[in-house]
Amino acid sequence: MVFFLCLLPGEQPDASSGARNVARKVSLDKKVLFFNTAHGERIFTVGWIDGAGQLQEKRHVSRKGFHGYEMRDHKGWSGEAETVSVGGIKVDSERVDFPNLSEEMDIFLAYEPWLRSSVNALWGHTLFGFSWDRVVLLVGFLITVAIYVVKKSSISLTTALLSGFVFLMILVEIRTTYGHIRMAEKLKENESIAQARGLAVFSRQLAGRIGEKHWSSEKLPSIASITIAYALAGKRFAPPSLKDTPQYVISYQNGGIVLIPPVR
Amino acid sequence: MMTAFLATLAHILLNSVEGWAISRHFYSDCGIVARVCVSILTGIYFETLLIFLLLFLGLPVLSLPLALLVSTAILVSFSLWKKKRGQFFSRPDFSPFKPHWYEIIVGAVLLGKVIFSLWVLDASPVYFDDALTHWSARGRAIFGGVNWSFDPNSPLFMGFTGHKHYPLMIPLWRAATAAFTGEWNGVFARVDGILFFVLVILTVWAAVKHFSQSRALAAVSAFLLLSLPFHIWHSFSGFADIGVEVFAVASMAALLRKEWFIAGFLAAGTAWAKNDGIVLFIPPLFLSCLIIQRTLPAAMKNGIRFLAGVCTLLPWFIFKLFLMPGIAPGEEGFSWHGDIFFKLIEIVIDGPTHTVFWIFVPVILCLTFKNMFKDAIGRAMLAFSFLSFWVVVLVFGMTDAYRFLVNEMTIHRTMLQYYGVSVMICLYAVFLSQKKEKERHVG
Repeated sequence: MVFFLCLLPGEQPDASSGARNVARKVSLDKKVLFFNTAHGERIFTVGWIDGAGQLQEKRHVSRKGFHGYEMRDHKGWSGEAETVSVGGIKVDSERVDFPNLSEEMDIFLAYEPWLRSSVNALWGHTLFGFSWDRVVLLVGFLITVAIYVVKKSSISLTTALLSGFVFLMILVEIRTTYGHIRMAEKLKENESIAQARGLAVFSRQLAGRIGEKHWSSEKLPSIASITIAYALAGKRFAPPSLKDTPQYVISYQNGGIVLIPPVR
Repeated sequence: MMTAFLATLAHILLNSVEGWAISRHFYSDCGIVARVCVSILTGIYFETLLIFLLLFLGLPVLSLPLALLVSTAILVSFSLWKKKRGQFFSRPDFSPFKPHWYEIIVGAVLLGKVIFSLWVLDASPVYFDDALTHWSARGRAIFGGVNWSFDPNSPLFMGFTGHKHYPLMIPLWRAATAAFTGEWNGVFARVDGILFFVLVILTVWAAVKHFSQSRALAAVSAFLLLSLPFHIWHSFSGFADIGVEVFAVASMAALLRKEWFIAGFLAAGTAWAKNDGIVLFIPPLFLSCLIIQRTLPAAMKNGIRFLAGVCTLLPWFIFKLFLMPGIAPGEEGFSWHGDIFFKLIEIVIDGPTHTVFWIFVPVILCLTFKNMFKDAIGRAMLAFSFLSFWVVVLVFGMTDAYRFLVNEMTIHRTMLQYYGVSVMICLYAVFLSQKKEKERHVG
């Protein structure tokens, strides 16, 4: 019997979703990009031809539903653009427009996405087009100056600086905690976690079928390969030197993972 | 899940008893929190070294719980036998601890982070790449017994997946935890991150309280570490970087308490958790150990004690020397990338991952440089910071690691390893500055 698992699309840009033009001959100053998508936490690319004819790009992470995506922090997002396009994700209801206050807050309150790269680097947040870190840095600096000016006779500049830093980290912590609460609400809908969970369940079934026999794998997509290798780490792996040993082969065929039993 | 947690708690308790039995011979006077943190880390360090030796000698994995219980019993018996009258049960100070309002808030934040991390462990499978390959898959392979060999001629030498160069503390600890229940669980694959996260906070809190005698400053240090957005991700990621961080910060705290041997083996713990420690932490911590001394003979004597602690990792170093040459995976070649400083500013300082933390740290050190330089501990901390900075520049600017700076795959995790020590250094700088200010007013 051959097991088969159909792979769900992952968080990588969807190559089948070619770039889609979302606006033509549009002024970019102080505007952001809006669209609706059914896919959350997918990395996509916004590309545009600026007034000088140069191709500019910015990567983003999608949020399921209709949301705005900050573009004002990119130095090439200004003037008039010939075309603006979105690649790597299927979108609709797209527009390039000025955000109102509730849309600004929606952009600011976007939670840190859960991606495989999140343990390497964070995406961060923006507020009214400015980096959130620069905003808190400014607030911290002003607090430090205010404390030092008012309390100069009783505290040192260092203490004032620490106080200012603590205050700005309180703001960071409030923002982060809100993001974590939102992330927790959305985690179970996350497609790549659903895929990972599916792979984990499938791998347990593979382990049951493999039993005490050897196994090896070939041509698996990298995420499936490492997930299955982790799940089967306690089952006898057949390295290339054991290629003549009867073994189950886990392979990628026709868009899914198959378990090929040993040849008798 | 509940069984897995109970097994983990039991394992941590065993580690703390083992660690207490070893480290109590080298303690100075330190509070209960510092003592518990050091005990747990000492227990993890020596237990995993012992497991490494036992597995190398061919002991099966499922006999490990018995072996560990026996070794713990021997250690505790030895400690009881060596007790000095009235000193064995040198009870720590259990006077009632009445928390201030700010400590309640910080405690609540810590509890919230721990609950969130535990919830993530329950809500998600083992997910991130390095956890799946280097740290948990190898741990699972060790536990399973069939995909692991210490024979360099075997195709399964040091496992069938992950970097063979990577040290074994984390995989061995996870395998040992699984051995207590007889089966693997996704909790074992990642829960040590939460333990290390809590230990970093508590170690820094205890160290700052010890040197400043200020609970407010200690609470500030704990809060700063809790609020760094990148930190919490590594409490549930399953990676080893937070393991490096906790051993580094515990080593620095031990230096401040003048526990030279303990500081040495905790420094070695950074290298036993991940290769980074060999280059990023052992040299700067050793330099700090030398500079903190007041006389040259003291520097020699205590430097040797520190190195004696580092040498407890010799079994691993000897194993690597003879069976696995090289320090790190990847190509080994050197070429200088002239834009390293701009890249570090753009990616580390100006990027969102660490918020403004890496602006705050150099600013504090610059403002307090004069006070720090006049103080022995301050000088040691400045030396640590200076050498660490240049080590990071050289590693990421001169080696193949440059691409991991540009693609941001490794640099931020390396900077995370410095979080705990950096907060400790900054709070020491502030404390020193406040002390000078008070002396000036009194004068």
